[in-house]
Amino acid sequence: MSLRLLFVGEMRLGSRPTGLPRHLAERNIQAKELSPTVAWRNVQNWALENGVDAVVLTGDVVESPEDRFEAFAHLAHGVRRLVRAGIRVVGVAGENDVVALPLLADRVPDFRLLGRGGNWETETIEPRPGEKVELVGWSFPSRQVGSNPLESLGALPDVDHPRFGLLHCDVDGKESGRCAPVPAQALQGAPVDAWFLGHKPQPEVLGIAKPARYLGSLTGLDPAETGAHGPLLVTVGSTGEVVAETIALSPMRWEAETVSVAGIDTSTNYAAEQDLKGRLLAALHRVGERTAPEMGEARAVGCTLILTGEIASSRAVRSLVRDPQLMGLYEEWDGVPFFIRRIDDRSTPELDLVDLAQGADPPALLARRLLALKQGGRASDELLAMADLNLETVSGDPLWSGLQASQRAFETRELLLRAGTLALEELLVQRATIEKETIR
Amino acid sequence: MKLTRLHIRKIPGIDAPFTVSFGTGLNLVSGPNASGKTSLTRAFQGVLWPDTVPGTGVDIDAAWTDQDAELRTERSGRRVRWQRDGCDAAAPHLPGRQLAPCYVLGARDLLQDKSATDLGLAREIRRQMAGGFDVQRIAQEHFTIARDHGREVKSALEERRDSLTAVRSDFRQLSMEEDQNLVELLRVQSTAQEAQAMLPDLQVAVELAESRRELDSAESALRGFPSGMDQLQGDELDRLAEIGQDLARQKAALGEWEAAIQGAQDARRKNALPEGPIPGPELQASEARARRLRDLENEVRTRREEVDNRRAAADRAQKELAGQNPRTNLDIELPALEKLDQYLSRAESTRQHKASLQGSLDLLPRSEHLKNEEALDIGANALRDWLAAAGRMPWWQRRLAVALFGCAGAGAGVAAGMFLPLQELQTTLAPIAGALAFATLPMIIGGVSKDQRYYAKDAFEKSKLDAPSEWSRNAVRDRLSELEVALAEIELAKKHEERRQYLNERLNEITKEEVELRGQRKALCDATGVDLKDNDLGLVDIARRVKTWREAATALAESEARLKTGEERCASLQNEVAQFLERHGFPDSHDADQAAARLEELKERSRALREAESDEEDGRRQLERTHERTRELEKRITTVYTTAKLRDRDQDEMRHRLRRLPEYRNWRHEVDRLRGQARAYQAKLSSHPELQNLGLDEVKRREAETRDLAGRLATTSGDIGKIQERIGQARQGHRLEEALAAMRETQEGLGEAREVALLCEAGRFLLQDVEQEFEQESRPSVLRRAMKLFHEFTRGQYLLRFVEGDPPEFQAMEVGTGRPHSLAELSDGVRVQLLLAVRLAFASEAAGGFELPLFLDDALALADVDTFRAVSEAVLALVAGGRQVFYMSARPEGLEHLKALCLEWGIEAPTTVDLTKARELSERRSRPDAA
Repeated sequence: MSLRLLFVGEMRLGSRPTGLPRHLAERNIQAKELSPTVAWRNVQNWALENGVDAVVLTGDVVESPEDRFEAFAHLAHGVRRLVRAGIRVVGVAGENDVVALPLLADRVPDFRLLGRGGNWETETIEPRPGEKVELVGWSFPSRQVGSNPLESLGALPDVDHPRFGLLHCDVDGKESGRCAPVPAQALQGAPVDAWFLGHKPQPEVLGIAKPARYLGSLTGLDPAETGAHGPLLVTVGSTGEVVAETIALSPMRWEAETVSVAGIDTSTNYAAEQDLKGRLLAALHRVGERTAPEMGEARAVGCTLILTGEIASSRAVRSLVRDPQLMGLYEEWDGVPFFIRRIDDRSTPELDLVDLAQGADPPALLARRLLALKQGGRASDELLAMADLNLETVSGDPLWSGLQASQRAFETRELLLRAGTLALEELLVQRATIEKETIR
Repeated sequence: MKLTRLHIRKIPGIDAPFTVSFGTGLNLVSGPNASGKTSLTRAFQGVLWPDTVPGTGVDIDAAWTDQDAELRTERSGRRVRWQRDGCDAAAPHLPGRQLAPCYVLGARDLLQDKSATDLGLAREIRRQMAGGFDVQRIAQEHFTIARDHGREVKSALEERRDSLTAVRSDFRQLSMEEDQNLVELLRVQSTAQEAQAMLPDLQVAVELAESRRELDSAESALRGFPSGMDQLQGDELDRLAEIGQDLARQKAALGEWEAAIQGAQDARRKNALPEGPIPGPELQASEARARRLRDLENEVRTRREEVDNRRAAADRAQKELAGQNPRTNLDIELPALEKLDQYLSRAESTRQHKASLQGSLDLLPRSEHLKNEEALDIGANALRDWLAAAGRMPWWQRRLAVALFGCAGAGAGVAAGMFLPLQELQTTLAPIAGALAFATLPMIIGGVSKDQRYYAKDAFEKSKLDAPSEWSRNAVRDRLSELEVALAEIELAKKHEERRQYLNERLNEITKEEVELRGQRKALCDATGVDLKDNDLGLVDIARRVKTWREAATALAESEARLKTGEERCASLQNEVAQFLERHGFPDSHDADQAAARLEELKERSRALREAESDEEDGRRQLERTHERTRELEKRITTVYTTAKLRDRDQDEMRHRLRRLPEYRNWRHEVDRLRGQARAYQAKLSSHPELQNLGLDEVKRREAETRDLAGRLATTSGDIGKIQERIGQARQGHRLEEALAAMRETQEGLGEAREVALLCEAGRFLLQDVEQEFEQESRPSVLRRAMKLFHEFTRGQYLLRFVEGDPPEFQAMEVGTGRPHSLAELSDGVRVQLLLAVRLAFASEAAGGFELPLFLDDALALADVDTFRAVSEAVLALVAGGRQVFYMSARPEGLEHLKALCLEWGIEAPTTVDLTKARELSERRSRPDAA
């Protein structure tokens, strides 16, 4: 017999995936059926069916701190269901849980909130004699914590069983130090055998000597959260060996796939459209083939298709990509729809920048700038500095004040390269016209 | 290129053709309105840029000089033909159609501050400054966002954020209500519920207090009665009277019981027996024995009669047997007699069977033709062969058979080749073909056995039988019939012979059986003593008589044995009964009837004795019981008085108390009722002992307070229900989740809008950077030419500036002050000079130095004096530079003023064209009489 713990990270109850295509709804798949609430129910069912010994929550269990009713109701219901079946439920609070988890601990006495009020606490899980594991945890006392919680973790007595640390924190983080910033080295020196961390949506194993990993979100809400998501099943064997395995219980799965548009048939708009559709469908098919063995509980798979490759006329592809019909394409694999969430056009025109830079007309001048941006160096830095000044006038516009800090913005270099390539293509069209008129 | 002559044959607005010749410098075209000035201008444009004057109704000739060459243009309909020095040639490199307005200026063109043309010119100049590349157009088409880009999304985001904020606010409010209001309301509700629960108990406590007060009053009244009242039942006098009567009855009964005892003693003495009353079972057993004795005596009598009868029957059978055949062996065994019956039956059966066989044998006939059988057989076969040979088929039957045979073979072959595999050919067609061949071959073969008749005839003759009357088919067939009849008779005789042999064999077997039966008969005769010579019926009679005698003797012996047994049992039983009667005083009973009479008498005396003993015992018991009853009644009278706490037999006091008893009882009942009520109330208040001993006033005060508290329950529960309903709705719903999702979706849209804005800004930045560098490297010549012209037009007072921007702008910088002026800030004259310089410079540059005439169509009609002068000077500067200029006006004074300026500037006098006269002249020349 071995001890089995189910670690659940970033549950974020009270949220749901967004930007889903309309045809999903036409197939009776609603956004709420792909939400963390469903993922949490899958976790409960799995835990009950497989008889785990404990379910461990590593914070950000709910999405909104003030959500004491919608998400909290699902949370409390699930926890009661588990504890009624004799499964221990332990958790630490993240920045979003400062209300929900203490309230849960008050209302469900069998739920154990570790580190309440920002004080480190331990909890021993010993479902059967001789099978024991110790959990050490700390919870956010308030929404913002600017200090390193590990500074208050004192010495712990030596034990002859595994000891796992639970912490919701920002390892080597850059978020203005408001989310419990922790240096990776501090994790390394802590008196635990392994760390199970919450905060980041994408699962990640930290590159330190001690086992430490971000569990990632229970179900992906953002297309960037690709791959299999779900709880982490940690099995502690009778001799203390630890095995971890991700259980794919997420109802929503995100994937990314590159689609080469090199050599696309641009002879006519129709031909280009058909060729591109075929390539996109093939990419969806590839995603299906790749992910089918580990689909788990996924009911829908959203794909970001990245167009790559050099093409003679990227203008044609650009205009095609704007066609909303493309977003309606999907593949079905074992009854699960694979739909297009976003098409990221990173294709480039077939341009010999070195050759184009020979000359003094505007295309040559622009080609020189693009070369500099690609190669780096002083000229590139000067251009970037000037561009930054210009772009700041846009990015600093109060119009964008409603955006979240985490929302992705292009890097200046990337922006300049994309815009410059597009402009260069247009200038070359004009150059061809001028040359034609001159010849006449 | 200068226009020297224009011949307009047809153009919209011109009815009659006319020709006009021009000078190479300044041409002043005069004529009133509708004289054809504008048509002249349109003809000029229609020749150079046909698209500007569309339609087929155009027919124009134009003559040009270009340096030393003579050019001619013919436009007929839409076709334009160019000739250089009398030969067809390609059109010269004319400026683009869009530049046509640069060469034809009207008053409106020059006096507007910002016309569309000028704006286009400014843009074009900028394009040229970018080396022919329209950088700004790229920026505008690909890197320009709408002014309100993102605003709509932002607005939607604000709305959704407000919605989210509202939901969050609702949830915060609900949380607060749950944490604070609900807790307080639940506390109040709990208190109210407790009060409501307490209210019935308090009401009970009130009733308890009131009961206690009434009880005190009742108990006080009760204490005024003498003691012992509580023991009175009210019927004491009645009970005393009843007891007295009963006592008198008991005393009378005592005498009656004593007399009964004496009577019983007398009866006992009268029926005394030696051993007292006989027990019932013993008496019943003796009676049964007596009845059995009587039955036995009857049975013995019957047996005796039976023995007598059987003895007489045996004697008769013996006499009958001995008289019939004195040799009869009377010791013969019974099995031997039974064999005799079997023998008789078998002998009869054998006899009948033998007679039947003999009859059948006698009926069989004798045969005498067996000797000719072989000859008949040979002859008949020979005749059949002859007939078969004679029955050959006719010629058409043979041919039909051959045809069928051939068809069968051919059909099988075709079918095998076309339809069937080899396997099926073998299994299916072969039998069919075979069958057809089998059917047809005999017919063929029959036809070829002609000579067999001869051989058949020869064979018949060898049988030495009589031949047919003639060897024809009919005669032979008749003879064959005869022979076949003879052969059938021979066959029947053979069967009769076989039957005869079989019957003889069966008769032999029966004969053997008869011999055996004769042996058996002899043995039976020996056993029964019958003579062998007697017939079988005598033998049977003897056997029957022996059997009858033997059965009678056996029955007699059995009856005698039974009689003896019955007599012995009867004697034994009679002895038993006599002994019983003698023991109880009744001797001398000799038979069953006497014994029965004695037993009946004994039984009656025993019963009377038993009854007397019982009556005596019962009387003594009743006497004792009556004594006890009398003592008890005396004691009960005493108890009635002592119970009422009165002296014994104090009947007066008893009557007195009984009269007050109803009143006492009322009070007693009231006290009991109140006490019971109080106990019941106390029991109800068992969970609240503190309420049991409260005074009436105190408990009423508490009850009022509690009622007040309980009254709040409904309101509080309602408030709690409302909050809990809202909480329930919030838990069941997805408002927050949906609002959050909606806001995130909009944020995503806003993010995309920002991406687009940043990308556009990056594009604009790069294009601007490139454009600036290029401009610095190569200032376009059109701008230099415009600057030069403007400088000449303003006689050095202003410099032309081109300001980048969107849209771009021309400015005039005052040389003296260095101050720039926008077009709007300039006087009309300077503005017209500036725009004219820009247009002409641009037109010249666009034409690659190829200069076209400039048409001013009453361009200064509305100008003031200063403006007129400024424009006129600019025009003269152009003419001085060698450009051909046409100034058309309906006002002679303007033309005169220009002529004066030419003199002032020292320029060659202008060519004056009177359009009215020119058209009249052309009209006259075109008339036939003009020749």
